[in-house]
Formats: sequence, C-alpha cells, structure tokens
Amino acid sequence: MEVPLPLIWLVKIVVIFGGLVSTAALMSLAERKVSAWMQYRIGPNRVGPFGLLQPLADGVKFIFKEELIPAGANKFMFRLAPALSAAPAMLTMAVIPIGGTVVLGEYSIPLSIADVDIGVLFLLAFSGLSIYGVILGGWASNSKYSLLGGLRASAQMISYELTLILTILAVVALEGTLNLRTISENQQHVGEWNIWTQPLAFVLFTITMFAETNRHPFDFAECEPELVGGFHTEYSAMRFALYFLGEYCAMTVLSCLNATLFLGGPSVPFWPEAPWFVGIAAFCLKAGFFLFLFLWVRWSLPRMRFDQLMRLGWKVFLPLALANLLITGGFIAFGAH
Amino acid sequence: MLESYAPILIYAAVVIGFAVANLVISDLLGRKRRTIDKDRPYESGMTPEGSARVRLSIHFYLVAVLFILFDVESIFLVPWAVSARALSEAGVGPIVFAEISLFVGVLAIGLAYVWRKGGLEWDR
Amino acid sequence: MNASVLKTLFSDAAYAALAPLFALGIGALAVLVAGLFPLGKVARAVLVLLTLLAAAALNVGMLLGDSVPGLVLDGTFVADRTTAMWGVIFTIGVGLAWLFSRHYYDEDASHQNEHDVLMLASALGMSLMAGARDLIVFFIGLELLSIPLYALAAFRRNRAKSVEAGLKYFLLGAFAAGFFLYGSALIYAVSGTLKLDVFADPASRAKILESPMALVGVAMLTGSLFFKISVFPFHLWVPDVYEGSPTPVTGLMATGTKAAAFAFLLNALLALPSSTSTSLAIIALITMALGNLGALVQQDVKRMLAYSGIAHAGVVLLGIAGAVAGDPKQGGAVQAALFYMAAYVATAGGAFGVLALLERDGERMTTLEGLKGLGQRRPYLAAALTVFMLSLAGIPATGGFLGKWMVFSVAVRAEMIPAAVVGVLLSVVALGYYLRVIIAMWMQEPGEDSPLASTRAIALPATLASAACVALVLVMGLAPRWFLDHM
Repeated sequence: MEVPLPLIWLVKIVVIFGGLVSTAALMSLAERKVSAWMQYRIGPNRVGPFGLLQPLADGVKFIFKEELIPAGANKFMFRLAPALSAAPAMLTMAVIPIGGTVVLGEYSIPLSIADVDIGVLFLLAFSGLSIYGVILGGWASNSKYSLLGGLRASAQMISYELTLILTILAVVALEGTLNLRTISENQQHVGEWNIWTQPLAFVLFTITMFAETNRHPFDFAECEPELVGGFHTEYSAMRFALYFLGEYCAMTVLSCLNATLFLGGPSVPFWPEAPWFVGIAAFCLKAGFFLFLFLWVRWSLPRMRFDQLMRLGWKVFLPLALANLLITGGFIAFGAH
Repeated sequence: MLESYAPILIYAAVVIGFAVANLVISDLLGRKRRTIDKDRPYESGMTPEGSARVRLSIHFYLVAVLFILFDVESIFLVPWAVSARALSEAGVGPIVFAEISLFVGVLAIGLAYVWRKGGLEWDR
Repeated sequence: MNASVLKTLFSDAAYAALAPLFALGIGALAVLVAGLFPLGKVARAVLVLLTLLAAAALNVGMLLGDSVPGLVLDGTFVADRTTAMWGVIFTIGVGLAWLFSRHYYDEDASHQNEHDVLMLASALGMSLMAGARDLIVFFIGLELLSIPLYALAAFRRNRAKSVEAGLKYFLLGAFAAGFFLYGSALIYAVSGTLKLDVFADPASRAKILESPMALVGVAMLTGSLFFKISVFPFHLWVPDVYEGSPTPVTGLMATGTKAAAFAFLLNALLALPSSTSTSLAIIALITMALGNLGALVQQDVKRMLAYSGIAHAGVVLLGIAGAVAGDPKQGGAVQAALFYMAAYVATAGGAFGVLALLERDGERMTTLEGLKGLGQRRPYLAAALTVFMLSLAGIPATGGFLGKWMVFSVAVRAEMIPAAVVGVLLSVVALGYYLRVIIAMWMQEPGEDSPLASTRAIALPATLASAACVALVLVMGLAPRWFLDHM
C-alpha cells in the first residue's frame, strides 16, 4: 500500500509537537518537584501518581480563569502578544533532528519535521521573533512593572543573541553547512562531537541559553522583588499560560539545539550503529540533561544584577565569541582539516 | 528543493492554530466579572500614578542600536562560515581568512570604541 | 563562489586600485583608535594630515604613473586617471574643510576626534563613489559619504539650527537613498546585473532602455543623484541645511558631495537615453535660474552661497546634457566637469572657509551687513574672499571662468546653442550678487550695528588653507596647462 508523503509529515508533526508540548508541561511539574527535592520538601503529589497529572489540572484551571485586560491597555496587542511569544518558540522545533533516519520497509524517514538546508538560519530567525511577544506584551499592558520587565527582557535577549549566533557560527564554520541534520550526522562517533573542538563555544552557548530564555540567574524580566511579574504582570488565565509554555518550549528547543550542535545529537557513545530508537533515547537524555541544568541552576545560584548581566554579555561573552570564531576560522584557513 | 519547506508550513499552521485555539477557548470559557478595581493596572495595591507610557532610559536605545550593528555583522559572517571550509580546501584559505579578519577587526575596533567611550556602562 | 574568481578578485591590480581607499580607511580607523588614548591634539592632527597626504600621494602617483590598474574587482570598480584626479580633488576638499575646522569649534569642542574621523570617512565614501562601476558599490560609497555628513551637519548639538540642518538632511537623504535602491532594483529586474557595463554595449543598452521598468529605474536613480547635487526640483533642502550646518562642514557638503555625485553621473552617462538631453538641459537652465534668482535676495552670505551652489550644479548639468546629446569630442564633458569641480572645490571651499573664520568672532558676521568695511579691518581675508567671488562669478583669469567656458563649449559642440546662450546670460545675472559682497567689503563703511573690529589673529591652519585656495584658483585661471593635460 502506498503511504502518501503528507501523511508521514503529519504523523511526524503530531509526534514531535506533542512531545514538545508535553515536555514543556512536564517541565512545569519538574520545576516544582526539583525545587522541592533541593529544599527537602515533597512538592505536588496529589494529582495522579507522583503528581504527574498536575500539569493537566493546571491547564484546565487556566482555561476557566478570568482573563483581565487592564484599563488603558492596547487591547489588540495585549491579546496578540502571548501568541507571538509562544508560536515562534514552538516553530523552531521544526528543524531539529531528534534522531537519525528510520527505515520502515521501503520508506526511509528522517526524524525531523523538516530537513532544510538553512536549518540554523531558520532557527535563529524564528527564535529572534520571540522578543516581539515579550516587548509588546510589556508595553501593551499599560503597567509600569510590565513595561520595565519587557524592556529589560528584550535588552537582555538581544544582547545575548549576538553571542548565541557567533557561537553557533563557529560550529557552522567547522561543519561547513547550515543543515542541522548534516551537522548531527557528522558526529556519529563520540570523538567527533563538536564539544571537543569547540569547548569555549559550548560553554558560552550553554550559559547564553539561560539569558536567551530569561531564566535564572538572568531572569530579570520577572525578578519578583523588583518587578513583581515582569512583562506578564498583568496577564492571567490562558494568556499567562501561553507565555509560560513559550518559555518552556524555548528552553526545550535550545537544549535540543545544544545537544545537536555540540553533543552529537542522537549519536550513542561507542555504539555508532545503534538502532534509531536508542538514538532518540540518547538525544532525549542529552537534551534532558540541559533541561535539568536549567532547574538545577535556578535553585542553586543567586540572581545577578542587571548591570552585571549586560556587562557580562557585552564585555566578556561577545569578545570571547568573536575571538573563538576567528580562531576557528584561522584553523580552517591554515589547513587543519 | 522547495517542497522540503512544505512540512514547515503545515507545522506552522498547527502551531498557530494551537496558540489561537488556546486563547479563544479560554476567552469563551473563562468567567467574566469585571469591576473598576480589577481593571486597574497593578501597582502593588496602590492606585496607579499616571500613565505607564513613560520616557525610557537612553541605555535601552543604545543597546538596541549596538545590537543592530553587531547583528548585521553576524549576518555577514554566515556566508563566510558556511563556505570557509570549501574555500580552504580550494586553496584560498589564507586570503579568505585575511578578508574576514579585516571585517571582524573593523567591528572589533568599533566595539573597543564603544567600550572605551562608556557606551556599555549600564550604571552611568 | 569558486576559488578562481576569488584569485582574480584579489589581484595586484585590485590592491593598486584600492590603495588610496585603503589609506583613507586605515587612517580613519587609526584616528578613531587614537581618540581612545590620551594623545595630544597635535599627534592626532598629524595622523589626519598623514592620512590625507598618503591618499593624495597615491592618487597623484596613479595620475603621473605609466599605467593605471583600470577595471578591477570583477568590473565593479575602476581606477583610471579620471578617478585619480577625482581622488585628488576630494582629498583637497576634505583637507580644506578639515583645516578650516581646526579652530572653528573652540567654544564647544567635544568629540573633536569623531569630527575628524567622520571627515575622513566621507572622503573614503567620495572616492568609492567616483570609481564605482556598479550600483551597489556606488551605494556603499554614497552612504559612507552621507551618514558622516548627517552627523557632521548636526555637529554643534547645542545650536537648534545645526540640529535642524542635520535632521532635515538626514530625512531627505534617507528618501534619496531609498529612491536609489528602488531604482537599482528595477534596473536589476530588467537587466539581471547591477554593473554599468551593460550600458556600454549598444545592443544590450537599447534592449534595456526599451523597457518602461528600466526607464522608471533610471529616472529614480537620476532623481536621487539630483538630490545629492542639488538640482531642480530637488534643491529646496540646500539653503536651510547649508545655513544651519557648521560652516566648514557646509564647505565640504557644497564641494565634496557634489563632486562625487557628478563623478558617478559621468560614469553612468550611458544609462541615460539620448532623448533625455533636452529635458536635462531644461532642468539645468531652470536650476541655474532658480539658484541665481534665489541668491539675489539673500542677506546671509552662507545662504547666498547655498543658492549659488545650486546654480553651479545647473551649469555642470548643462555640460552633462551636452554629453548625453552627443559631444563630438571624446571625454570632453568629463574633462569640463573635472576642471569645473576642481575650480569649484578650491573656490567654494575657500569662500566657506573664510566665512568660518569670520563667524568665530560673532554670529552675524556671515550677513552682508557684517561684511561691511571688512576691507579695512582685515584686508587679506577680504582680498581672498574677493578672489573667490570673482571666480564664482566666472571672471577671466580665475579657475571659475575657464571651467564655465569649458562646460558651455561642451553644450555648443553638442549643438545646444540656445541653451548655452541662456546659460551664459544667467551667469551674468549672478554677477549681481557676487559683486554685492565685494562692494560691501571694500566700498561701504561699517553700519551702526556692525560687529566691532576684531583683533584676533587667524590661526595657522586656516591661513594656509585660504592661501592655498587663492593660489589654486589663480593657477587654474592663469596657467591651467598642467590640469588640462592630466584630466
């Protein structure tokens, strides 16, 4: 029987999108569970086994809550902003290869929603769009806390986006392609992982992930003691939930990207011929490590100050990333291939 | 070639549909009991003072301008990054590297200038 | 891109062709970096001078050398004797503006270093424009020239007029840049290339100019260039911007921008269909008329010079119209425009410089009222300004006369006799306001509210610059042989 191509696409979309959203939902539970463990508490444990159904209950609650729009807010922008923040973060998942190629009978199916040659560019372009959701939401609320939170968040995101791009470019220069699938396939063996050739880029990228997603210790968008809730102070119900979902999706995508760029994606150490499902498991494990790192750091480190954050971004990370890229270029040019 | 983007289109439709559906469902099912106090922007329980459309610190503007500058720089670096390896294998590596060093060098001078002039100081 | 193309791009000829540009670029960066360290004023000035001298020397070397690099960088940039001559003119123009600006800003002298960097960057932009044989290369040059000038126009931040000038220039300049890009896009859509070469081949030229889309594109390009050379109907920004900008910067705008835009217009001549020559001539005459009539009623000499600059742009455009119509003498229009602009750079650059010197003593010195009796107070300055006025008016024995004569003869050779006659008559009208300045300086006593006589000595850089301008104007008028041989 002939299986039409669009059907394969649709199946992949449903599986990967479902995986992304449920990862994000589980992260909201994990956040509370991990913090509880680290603080010698128990955390949510009433809804389902180990509280596993808690995110579902939260979702239902969000749907039935009242949606407030502050007086004087720009209603259209206020409604639009959460979607603008969440949708780009989810869209970027389209180019991440979560596994190798599955061969089912006569079909060989690459395990990513789309296999495009400009994967890295696509990802950077769409993740850049998330800033609009943050700054528009902050501005449209007509609240001073929101405005300041939105401004801070966008200043921080654009500052660190430079480092993000430059570190990714160092890997791109090594691999000579923007196609994320090719990049991940070039790292079959553990010795080929880019973390060995680009350790500095790996460290910079990992720290930049935190700043890009406004996560602790760089969560100045929220920063409760100063700005209450930051840019989503005025948001409630599902709009608020969308912001959260967007943040967790962005974290997930960046973790996946980190695993793809530096840790070989679905490659299993010392077992290059591993079957595809083992590859997916390895990929999830790698991405999961970074997701756990987000929580680990959040409950271990104190928050920085905003001026420290900007200084770190512009005076340390940007020059380091530039130098790293140039040195990489030098090695390529003078024949270390 | 272009057909490899078709799944992205479908995926985009799914994602946008998901986001919009969430907003609409919550809009329909959520309760609506508005009062004047509830509609006020939050200001730690006080009556809001003035409008929130206030003038902003010039720093944010400066950061945005600097970002544009270096963002455009990194865009120009993309074609080089993609082709650096192939060009190096074709035997023109050193000259390409010299060119890109010149480009990055000029921008590095720009960064040094901004730095030295205090454009990166947040607490001034 | 394949590697063999790269190898031809980075040929020795390319480096030779770009050497003056490299000198300017490296110099500008060096001055920028020097500003970060506590270097003395003198050290930085030496750096600027060295940069300009190096660029000028490289250009002169190309001018006198046996061979020129010619077309380089895949045909997008040309370095021949004409480009080198333009390069010399630009460095002289920027050098003059820089020398006159030395003591101009004394009272609010912050960011003096950035001022110099911007001037050098604008010189780089001009040189790139003059050699461009490709619309994008030209556009980069244009922006490299324009963006520093926007900032320079608003350089006296504490004066409302200066800021107004900067903003006006920026907004209108941004529109012009947009027009240029849209025009390039349309031409690209028709021809598939941005190189001007396509117009060199008669067959492809005819084919491109057949398409209405390309014609609209050419019209948009021409419009944006007309803005830069301040030709009717895009001349209205000139008086306000020239009046508000710091006077040395005004000098740079009047001479450098105009010269660079003309240099490219001459490169791009073939893109203009020959049927446009009549309308170009009419535009040129209207421009001359508007400039001269506007200048007649001005009381402020800076504004008057702005209007006179419009009229001068009209004169050069008449020469270009002649070239489009078909000048039987090969390269006649290029030579005429080069000579005219060289003389204009020395003349207008010097005139604005002298005004800058006078302005330091008090704002009102740039009015005709303030110039009264200058001949007694400051005979040397008055004499210099007299020479400049005579040259601008086109009196024989000055460079301005010979330039006008050469341009009008292009029009005559192209059988545009009526236009040439009207042009000459309009030049006679111009005598009216140039002579008023001379009369005010030498034949009128200072009025009740004229500023008091100043005893302040004039600084050395400005003295040198004005002397050089006078010398250039007279040499070009009396012994033009060398210039004519090298143009």
